[in-house]
This record gives sequence, C-alpha cells and structure tokens, in this order.
Amino acid sequence: VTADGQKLTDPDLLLFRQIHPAHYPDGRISSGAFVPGPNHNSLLSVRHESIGARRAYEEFVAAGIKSLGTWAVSVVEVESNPESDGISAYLDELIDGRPEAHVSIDFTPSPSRGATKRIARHLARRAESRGCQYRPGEPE
Amino acid sequence: VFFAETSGSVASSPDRISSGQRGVRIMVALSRIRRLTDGWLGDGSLAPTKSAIDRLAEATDAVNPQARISPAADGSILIEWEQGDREFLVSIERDSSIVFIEEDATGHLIREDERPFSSEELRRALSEGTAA
Repeated sequence: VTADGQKLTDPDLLLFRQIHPAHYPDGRISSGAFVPGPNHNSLLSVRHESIGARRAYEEFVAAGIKSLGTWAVSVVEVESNPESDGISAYLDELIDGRPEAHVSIDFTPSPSRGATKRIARHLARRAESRGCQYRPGEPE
Repeated sequence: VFFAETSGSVASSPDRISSGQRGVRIMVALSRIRRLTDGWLGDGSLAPTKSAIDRLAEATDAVNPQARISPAADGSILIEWEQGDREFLVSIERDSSIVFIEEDATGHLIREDERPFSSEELRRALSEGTAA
C-alpha cells in the first residue's frame, strides 16, 4: 500500500509535526515522534506549511491529543533520509476524510523496522535543529 | 507536563547521577509509559505492552545513565543515548523483538540488527552501546 495524493517536490517546503509530551524526554525530540503507527499503512501524518504552525497545533489538540507544539521537517529532509530513496511526502488532503493540508510521509519503502527507526531518528534530528515553529502561548 | 521534565535534580545532570537516581529516573519514565492506552497518539496508535515495560524495568541497571526512554506509535519502546561520538538506539518492538542501531554523530550507520527477545539479549544490547 502506498500513499494517495500528490507527491510534494518543493525541497524547501515545510511539513509540520506535532510533538507529544511523551516524545520530548529531557528536552530532546525522540525518534518515536516520527515513527508511523502500524494501522496507518506506514503513513506518518504531517501538515503542509500552508496551514500555519499555530493552526496545525490548534486542530491537533482540538482532536483530544496532547502536543507541546509544532515542529517541522522539509521535503528534502524526508527524501534525503539515510535508508531509502523511496520515502516521500504526499499531499492527500480531503481524501478519505483527511483534513485540509494533510500530508502523509510514506514509509512503505522502508526495508525493515530498524530502517524505519533510523529514518525517524533522522527526521527527529532535523526537526530539533530547526527548532519549534509554534508553542501555545507564543505568537506564530 | 507529561514527559517533558527538563529541570530538577533528577534530569538536569544525567552524566553525574548515581545509580539510584538513574533507577528512579527510568522508573518514572516507565510509569508514564505504563499509563498510555491504545489511541494515545490518535487513531491506530498502539501503547507498549505491559510485558515489554516490565522487561525493560528488569534491565534498569543496564540502561545508560543518559538514556532517554519514550514510546512510539507502533507500540515500541525506544531507548536513545549518546556516548562519545556514537549514538545508540534500542527499540523493544511490540512483539518484543529487539532492534539495535549504532550510528556516528553524523548519522552514518555503524551497526543495525534485530534480535528475538530474551532478557540476556536486551541487557547485551543496552550494555554493548554503553561499553562502546
């Protein structure tokens, strides 16, 4: 199974990811923040930068899930992961009930669970280096 | 906040903490993971199993004092730490298999393997990294 939608090609485009408190031990972003769940066909949910970091946060927590704030990785950072050339991001908003500006990072080409963890670690490092894009209580 | 303690005597100086403090720090992290239920990170996300949490709790003394412990949406538990110019990740998967990853500081892969679970293999994975 691979992602539906339009493959994103702008290398500098930012993809917003919410960081759950469980993914911020000792003030570091855990690789776990970028590991897809097993029932999502290896798709990791992020939001297109057009939605804005604040709105991405607000919609996420409105669904009843905890978040410390919005962090981001870029399209080129997704594709330049250390394990697989085939990992890409797809704009799949409004498909199967997904919200506006929803993007899926497709981990299907990852060859193993260890590879998925390495890719996740790569993305966590990049998000941490870029810094938080929005924290509640701060202006965007 | 839930897992995000960044100050205080337990978390502020991980390289200087005693074995007792290390044990407390790890048990606090595990008790928080233990409270998670399926769906904790949205539809389809899985919480780590009680047996995986218990198995890691039994290997507390093998965990690097600087290690950060966190769950992932696939139901695994990740233990991550750095030592010298090496970075380590041990994952206890939902089926209890053990994934071990060692990279250098630039992300270059040194070693990656997956092993069936046993207490000895878990302790070896955690200790191999610490001993490197």
